[in-house]
Amino acid sequence: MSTLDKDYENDPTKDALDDDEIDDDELTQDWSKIAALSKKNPNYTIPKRGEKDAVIDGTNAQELLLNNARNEMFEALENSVRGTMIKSQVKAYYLPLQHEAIVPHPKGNFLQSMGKADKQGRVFLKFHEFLYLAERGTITPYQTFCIQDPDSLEEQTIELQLSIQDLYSFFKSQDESDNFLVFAYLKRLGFIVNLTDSNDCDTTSFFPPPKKSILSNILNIYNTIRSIFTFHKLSLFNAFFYSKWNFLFNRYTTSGQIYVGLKKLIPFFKAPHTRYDLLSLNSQHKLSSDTSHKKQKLSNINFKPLKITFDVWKPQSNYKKKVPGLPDYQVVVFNKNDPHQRFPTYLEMRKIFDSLDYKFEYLSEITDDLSWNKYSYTNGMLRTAYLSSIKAKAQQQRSSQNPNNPKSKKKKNSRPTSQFVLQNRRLKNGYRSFLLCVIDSGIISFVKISETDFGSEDVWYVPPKNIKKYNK
Amino acid sequence: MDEKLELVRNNLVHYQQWEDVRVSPASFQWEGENIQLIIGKPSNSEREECVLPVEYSQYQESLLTTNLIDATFTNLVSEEFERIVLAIIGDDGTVVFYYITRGTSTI
Amino acid sequence: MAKGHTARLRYKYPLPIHPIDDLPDLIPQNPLSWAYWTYCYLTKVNYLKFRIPVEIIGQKYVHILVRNSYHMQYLWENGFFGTGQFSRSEPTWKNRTLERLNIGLTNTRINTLSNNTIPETLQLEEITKRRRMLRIEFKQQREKLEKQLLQLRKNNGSIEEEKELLEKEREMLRDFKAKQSLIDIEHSFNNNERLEDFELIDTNGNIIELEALELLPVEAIFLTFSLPVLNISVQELCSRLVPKPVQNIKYDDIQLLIRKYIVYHHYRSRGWCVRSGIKFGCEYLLYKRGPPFQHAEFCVLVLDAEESQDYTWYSSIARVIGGARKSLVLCYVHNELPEKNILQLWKSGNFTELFSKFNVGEIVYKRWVPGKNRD
Repeated sequence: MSTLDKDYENDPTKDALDDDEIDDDELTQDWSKIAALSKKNPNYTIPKRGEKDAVIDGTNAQELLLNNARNEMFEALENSVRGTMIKSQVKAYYLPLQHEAIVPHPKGNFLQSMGKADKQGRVFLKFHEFLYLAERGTITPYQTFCIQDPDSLEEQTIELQLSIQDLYSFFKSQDESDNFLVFAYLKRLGFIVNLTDSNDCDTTSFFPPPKKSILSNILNIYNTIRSIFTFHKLSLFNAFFYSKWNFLFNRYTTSGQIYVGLKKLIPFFKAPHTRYDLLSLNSQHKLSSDTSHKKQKLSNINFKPLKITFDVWKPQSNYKKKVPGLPDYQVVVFNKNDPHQRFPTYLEMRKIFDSLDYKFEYLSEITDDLSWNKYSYTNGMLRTAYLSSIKAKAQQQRSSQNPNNPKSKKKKNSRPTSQFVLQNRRLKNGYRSFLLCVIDSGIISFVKISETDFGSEDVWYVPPKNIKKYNK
Repeated sequence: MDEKLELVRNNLVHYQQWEDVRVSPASFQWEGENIQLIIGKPSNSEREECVLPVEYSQYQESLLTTNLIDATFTNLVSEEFERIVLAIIGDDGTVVFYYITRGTSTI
Repeated sequence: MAKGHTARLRYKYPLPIHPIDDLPDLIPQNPLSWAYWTYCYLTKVNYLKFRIPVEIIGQKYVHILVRNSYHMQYLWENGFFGTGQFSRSEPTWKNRTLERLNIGLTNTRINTLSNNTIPETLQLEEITKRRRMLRIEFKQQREKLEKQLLQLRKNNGSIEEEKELLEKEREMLRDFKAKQSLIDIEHSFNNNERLEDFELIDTNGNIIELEALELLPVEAIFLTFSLPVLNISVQELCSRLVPKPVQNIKYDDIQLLIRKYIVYHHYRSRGWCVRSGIKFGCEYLLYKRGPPFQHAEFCVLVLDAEESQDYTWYSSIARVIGGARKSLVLCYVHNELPEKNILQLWKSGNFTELFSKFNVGEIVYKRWVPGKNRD
């Protein structure tokens, strides 16, 4: 990989791009490296990526180069061997009625993050998991059929191996196919991906289950009333600022005071900054039936509202399939080519923000990964309690979290970060966020959409007191 | 001379330091606006350029479409010019310049 | 008023309305001090002693100009309002032209020059100019090389020759980069008085003030409605901005202007210096204190809360802004009232209530690369 990077460094068009977000993920494979391995013609090298001309120059030099590059790729692929050893073959049978697959003799590492086992030890795979594993060669796809012998009228069960084309034909909708594309993409990169709606495991939520005590009811009513004032509304007093007598009667001794008068004009959507904010927002939504999104014009019936499709975890070795915990990210899938889908409007984004339930990493109360167990709830109880109750082997730490591991990444507060840095971080990174996965004719790209809150941050300059001494 | 021509002309002469700047007399109407070119020579080049001033407003619809550019090439730009310079006048008087090359002709 | 101030002192006040910060010190025990302090408090006002007149030209596309040079300086130094028509941002055209033409070094006192020290703003313009020239030179050389390459291909040149040329190109790039980092201020003020420059000089040999400071429409609204700075009423300004007779105004004529103003006010009132984002393809740029202090970190696009664009629109702007290492903020405006109420408020001139009937929400839009977030 290092030689590829060096080539990239010497690329003259690199400065034209000058964007360090173009990374190895995007560079298409440089087949010339593999071609060089095949030693057919060591003198002939394929020009590196980037040395393309944009102008039509009337020669077919470009086409020749392209053809050569393409041929090298096909040759490299043709000579590779694919298949599995009989000993390690794992068969999976497609069940058309449930649109799932059953693995009678499961074995392999994939079981750590995929599939649901039943009491007899057989594993059921969701269709997208089935297709993904079949494509990789981890399992071999089969289907059983009952056929009737026309002569003896006996019924026989036979099993036929399915091809990948067969599997692709089993998709029930474009959406399912889109979702599979995203699932496979992320899995190949090492992430752990689950459907948000799946009922296969005990779900963990950031939000506590609704309590039925009187105290909590009062708290809920209080919060609902408070929510009316979440938008800072214009009061009569503030309106005075814009009248012509404002500066006649009022004396402002600092610029800050003038700003305070100015900023009270326009209400804004305030984001939940702390855990308390998140929890009270959540309980309000449980009470009211979406009143904070009132006045929404009848949303165009032609467009499907987007919703969260996947929960994603970063690659980790101690993922517990049955009790996964809060995901690291949540993904909303958006197909650009579908005429019934459109890029979310702000109101639609707010709906998504309000339904998010993942590790809200911006919370300052939670300083390292393990503390999430204290702040999430599984099956109605605090996760730490739940884990100890099922006697899970939960104390294995992720290798990067192991304090003895030199690469451990605990957030160390060795130096207190300045106010400005923290403020900038809040503004740039925002609060709740989700990943919008955009599919454009099969090409996948991700956008991180985070709510931010400039309304809550004052950035006007406060001069130090001693400046006065230098005044004219 | 309407405001946009005057603004861009002054910008070219006194800010960009172009030489020999003059407003070309030919013009045509497009959606109620007058479309005219300014011709001049940039300070560090040997060729003259054709400049098309277009107003841009934050809160109003803009005239700028590919159809307008096409019409400009057809009606105003003489054959010897391969490209024009689009001078977009922002709300705050800033003028941003872009080269627009004549498209390749289709049979 | 000596202009040798550092940026901190020159740009002391972030707004054109100044706070009363020179009240005398109060000595609690001394009743005289109390009396004096109260007297000062009552007589000083935040009000500006003068109102800045503006000239509005244009019919459909209006330009709001400030011509007086003292006013231009005042608006720039107290909040970085407006842009010089012939400058990058701060209106420095007059001084630069005086420099270029070498006029008035003896008669007019140019307060930006003293003992051959060149002030920062002129330096910046020069540096930018030099860099641009170098870039153009490089592009010309590159074009030549490309032509050579094409020739070679047409004549079926060998691959070695092609590689040679490409290597030359890479070398050129390295040279160019080295030169860029070496640019310093070797001012060569050629006394090149061109023909065109004679139209700048009036009968007394002084330079005409050709450059005006131009304000964005939303800046002008801010400087009339929110802070009384300009010498024009809000109603008159709005009637010029939306040049239709009041009874014919439709919601579509005003909705964009209102939305842009709401966002402008939202950020200005928190202390941001908000400027036009036309150079980056966005609506506004947010500066922490002002352009001389730091580069803008945020680019703002304004949308209606129920608006949805084609994905290409978002992604292309995000690319441009990402390439400039800035953050893209999508700022949404949601109206709380139905359209006809808004129209009614506008027509009756009740702007205070009008602007308070909108909610603002923002999101940050950022490309996410899975490979970089595996941790």
